[in-house]
Amino acid sequence: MQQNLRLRWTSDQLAPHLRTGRLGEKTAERYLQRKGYRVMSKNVRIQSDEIDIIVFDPTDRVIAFCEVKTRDKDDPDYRPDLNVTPDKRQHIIRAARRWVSEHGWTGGYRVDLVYVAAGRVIDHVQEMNWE
Amino acid sequence: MLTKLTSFTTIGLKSERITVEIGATPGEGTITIVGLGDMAVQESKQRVKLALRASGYRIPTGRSITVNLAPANIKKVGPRFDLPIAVGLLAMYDLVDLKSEKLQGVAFLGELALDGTLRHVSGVVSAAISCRAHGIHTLVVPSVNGPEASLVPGIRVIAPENLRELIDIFLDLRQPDPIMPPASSAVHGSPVIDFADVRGQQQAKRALEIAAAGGHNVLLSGAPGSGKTLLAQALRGILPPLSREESLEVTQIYSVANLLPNDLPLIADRPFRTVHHTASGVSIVGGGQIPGPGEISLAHRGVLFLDELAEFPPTVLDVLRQPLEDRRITITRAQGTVTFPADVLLVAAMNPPQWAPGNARKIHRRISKPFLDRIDLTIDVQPVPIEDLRQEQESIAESSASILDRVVRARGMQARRFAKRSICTNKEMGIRDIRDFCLLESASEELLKQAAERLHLSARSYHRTIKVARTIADLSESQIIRTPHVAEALQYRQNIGLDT
Repeated sequence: MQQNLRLRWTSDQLAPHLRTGRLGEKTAERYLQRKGYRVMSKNVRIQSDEIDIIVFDPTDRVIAFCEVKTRDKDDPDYRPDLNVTPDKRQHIIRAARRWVSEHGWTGGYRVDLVYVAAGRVIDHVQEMNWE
Repeated sequence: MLTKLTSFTTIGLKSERITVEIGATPGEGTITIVGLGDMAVQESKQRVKLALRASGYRIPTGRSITVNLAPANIKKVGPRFDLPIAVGLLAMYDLVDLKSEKLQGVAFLGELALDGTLRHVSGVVSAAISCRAHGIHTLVVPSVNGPEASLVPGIRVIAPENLRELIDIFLDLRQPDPIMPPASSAVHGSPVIDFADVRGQQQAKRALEIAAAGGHNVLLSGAPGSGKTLLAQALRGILPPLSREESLEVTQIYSVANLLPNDLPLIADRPFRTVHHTASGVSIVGGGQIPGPGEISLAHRGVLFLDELAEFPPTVLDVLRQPLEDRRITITRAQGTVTFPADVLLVAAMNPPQWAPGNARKIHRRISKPFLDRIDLTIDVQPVPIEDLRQEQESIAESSASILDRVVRARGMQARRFAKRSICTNKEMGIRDIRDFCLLESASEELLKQAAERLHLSARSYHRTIKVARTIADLSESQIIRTPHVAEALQYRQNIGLDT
């Protein structure tokens, strides 16, 4: 199944909404690399949850788990963060915790949200889990 | 990584020293505030995060931060810990060059706005007083609280507008703005109603003068429209100004109650609190889950005015009995016990029984004998004839200023007399003070004895009559209480139809 998806992603026959998401992740990745983050892993599935991009932040020396939310158009009334529901937040945080414990990472980590609209990153929320 | 800062929390009127400890370990990027904080304390983390960002600081991510407010067994309320937490985070991450020696002996209080400006907090005067007791040399408060904090001598007050300004002051990049000290002898608020404007009512005016001079409690009884409320309000104008210490006491209470006006950091006028008869007992004596001062404490060193006394529920009047006697109120709740000062001059006004709805017996049930016992002066306010009101006799009525002059002189006499005791007015005299200071002529002694028998005066009433006589003697600047003084004092124990 997973193999299958990965094949389809490279093809042009992807459904339009999945295509948007896929392009958004690419844009986010380039943005994160430009900021000096080192991309460790992408589209990591941890049980039922998925982490879009895992990067290493060399400034703070922490791992950042990034969730990318993409929109086709940059509409202030329809921002990407509207789709980050409390449930979704919990899933991302849960996935991050699982990854950390599975990989035995003892340093710091955080969960980031990267918003992409109209082909560019419009916001990068760091440490979403601060509360 | 660990930083320690000092702050204060208010319990009753006192301030307790709180150590704000901040530590961080690599982790999920969360912040936890422990140490029995309420919601406002918990929400502090959101304000601090954004305020730091708005001030241009970026805290490293991916750290689990723990803020400990010690001692952990004291409940902490309010947003006052925002500032110490923010400064602590900056110091811990070495974002600014704040050496721990620089934070030694400095206490922080302040709520942060999301843009980094500092907002008003309550109880600053109490905290400033506590600073001295704990050997803290500098107190940092929001700029609006600056004048309030600077009332307490002996500590350095820094009152910045925002977080950035504070850091610049700490790094010696700028000098703190000088704090405008509040006018030390603020103008005694011009009385709204001058006694010269009140026609007639000579006896009532005289009684209020005695009340102002000795701090005695007054009951004004009179037909509707006879001018009771007017007279009570005019009393404001003949009360002596607050001394510096009294001012500080009153300011401290208002600061804790968060009722201090921003433009008036020092309360220089005697408070005058009017309580409506629908007020609850707790609102008058104070209380609440976290005990706060009530009307009787807010009227400390001033006047507590109960209009329409007969309409107050008996339970509400009876809670006043003890604080009127003790001049302080102790509130006990599951959280603990706090004591607030409650030294008030009680002024009550009511319609006489024949005018009141219901009958005399009903009023008698409502206003208990023990409560009436605590009233020193009872005045029957007679309606002023219409012809007198129309007359243009400006010269006859005495102005508040000249009455105030007599009152101040009488208070001066009392202050000299009680210099070695811990009291300052006649009403505060205990049994021993009465024995020592109330020298009665033999004739006046005899008169008092006869009156006590005839009027069935209780021991408390008897002593209160002597205290009033002492004040009357003070007003005529006599060291000895003579017969006319006692006779006048007895006159104010008159029957207004409440005694059976």
